[in-house]
Amino acid sequence: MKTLILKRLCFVLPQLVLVAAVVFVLLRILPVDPVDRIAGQFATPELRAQVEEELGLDRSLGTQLGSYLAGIFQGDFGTSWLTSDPVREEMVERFPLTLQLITLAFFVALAIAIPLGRASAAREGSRVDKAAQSYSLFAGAQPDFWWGLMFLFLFFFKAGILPAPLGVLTPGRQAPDEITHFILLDALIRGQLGVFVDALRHLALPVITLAFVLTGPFTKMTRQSVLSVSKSEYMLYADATGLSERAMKRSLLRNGLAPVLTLAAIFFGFLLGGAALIETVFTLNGLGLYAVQRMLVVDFPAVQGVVVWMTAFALLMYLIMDLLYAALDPRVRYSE
Amino acid sequence: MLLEVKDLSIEYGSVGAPNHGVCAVSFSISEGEIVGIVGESGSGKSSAMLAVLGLTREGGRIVNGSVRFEGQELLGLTREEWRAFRGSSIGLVTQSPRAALNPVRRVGEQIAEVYRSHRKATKAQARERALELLRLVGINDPERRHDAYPHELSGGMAQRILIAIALSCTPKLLIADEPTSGLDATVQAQVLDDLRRVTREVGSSLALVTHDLGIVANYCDRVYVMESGEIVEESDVESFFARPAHPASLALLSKQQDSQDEALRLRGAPLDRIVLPSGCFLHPRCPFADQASGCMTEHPPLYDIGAGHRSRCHRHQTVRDALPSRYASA
Repeated sequence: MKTLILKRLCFVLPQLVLVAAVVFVLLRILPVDPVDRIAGQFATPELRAQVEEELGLDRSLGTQLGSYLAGIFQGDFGTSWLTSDPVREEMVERFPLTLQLITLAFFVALAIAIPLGRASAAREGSRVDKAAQSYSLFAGAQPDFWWGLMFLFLFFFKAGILPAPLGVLTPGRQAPDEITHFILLDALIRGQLGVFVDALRHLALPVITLAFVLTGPFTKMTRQSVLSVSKSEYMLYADATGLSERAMKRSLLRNGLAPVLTLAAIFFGFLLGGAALIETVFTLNGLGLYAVQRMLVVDFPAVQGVVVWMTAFALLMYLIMDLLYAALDPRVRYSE
Repeated sequence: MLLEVKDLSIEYGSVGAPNHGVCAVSFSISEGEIVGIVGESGSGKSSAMLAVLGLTREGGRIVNGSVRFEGQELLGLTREEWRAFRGSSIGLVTQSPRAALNPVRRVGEQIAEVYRSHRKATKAQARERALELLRLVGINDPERRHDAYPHELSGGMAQRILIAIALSCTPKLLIADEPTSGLDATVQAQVLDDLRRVTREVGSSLALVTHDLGIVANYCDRVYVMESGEIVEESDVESFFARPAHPASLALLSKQQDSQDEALRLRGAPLDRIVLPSGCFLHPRCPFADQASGCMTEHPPLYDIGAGHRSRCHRHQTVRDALPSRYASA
């Protein structure tokens, strides 16, 4: 197990450096001139030169990349060109909201998809199965931001049971003093139940939106996997040995879920990207919205920071899921 | 009689136009006996034996017949009654042992789990029982093998694990479905020797499903030959090998001995049994088929040709004489 972790970590580092380098170069070959944006169209050549020097754009691309990568290794993601604040601080401030959003969505989706997938696998071709199948197709066929708008229309505009899509707290309500940066946790720790409920109500629609779209593929994956296990030689043999119902169910779940978990980890990576649109629709000040806003004002360090950060996070998730898979399936452990 | 199967029929596929997997098969096994069920692949022998446990492959259903075990009718048992019966009264060993074992569980645990499904035992007792069984089926170093995963075992070792699972509750009958088809010849003999030894030690009967007549000759007391979903010949082993009385048996025998004698072979592969041929099911492929004997028009009954030897062939006399004496010594 230890060698597996070490091996995987050896891959993670070069992957991160590569992603950082590619994003860095791609941004710089975009046909936009950041100096134009920052110094203004009518700036004097002297002012332009000064801005160029401040941003470090007067140096060669290689030197810029080198110092950027060196910075990342020390946890320094550079300074925002828009606010002059360290990008790292800005991300640390916003990431917890995104993480809460996608984690909640992820687990809500799993909590629905696993029982649903099992039920539809247990009765293949039944009404439950057909309903689950058409739902999977239907939910995945429209983009998540469109579902977000539909849910807003229904639950906020028509039914009025959930709040307007304006941030994570009702305007005027004070956020709890930060401990973990996770607003739900902080509210609970501080005992501010009102804040907790308010944040939960604001997060409800974005979470439902993401979970709604995600449950489709998760259900399909679970159904497929459980189905193939239930038709396997070893389940037939277990049945022929009169293995107890409880033991049969346990095998079905354990053997069926292992592949679902690894696939789900890949979706966790996708969710990070999907969060950008959902946060925009619901005006949640998370990392996704941050990336979208900063891209529009050519704040390269911020955009680079978000990409590297999210890549690192996605790779970490893959690693965790792989380890979980290895724990569930001994064949993986030995082939590595 | 330990096991008595009467007129068992199994169909596959659609109800409207079913594939007749097994057609009105009857056979019996008495206590302590080793019975061979032989036939080419697709003859229905595995389906018939699986049905004794109330199981069918996907899309199969038992449509008719009776299966009596120690006098008790099995078809019609509830799910829970079947679950209690399988494994404790009849043990099963299948042909691909590594596929039959759960790939993510230790083999010792899998033995213990089956034992605990049928007997009241603590985890420690079940583990003891698993180790005892591993020793019984001839596995060296049972403590270490107990903790192995199926993919770490050789085919012969995995087959012994299945035998251990099948014997965990000392069943009265063991069904071994092609138990050695994936193994090389030396391991084959070892596994079969062990299988015979352990069934004798625990005093159970053994139903040995195979396509290999050599195994039947060496290990069995009696033999049933299946073809086209039917039992076409039954006999004690001596009488069978002295003078086999059905073309399907001759075909198996000549295949076994790599004979080039086309006159003894069946033509082509087994047919789909969606529309059963008139007359003898085998006549389109049979070198002995003959209009005058009614092979094309009249379905043959099981003719009694003396001393419990029966053959479902109108021309069994001709067939018995067809075999050159050099084969008969098999």
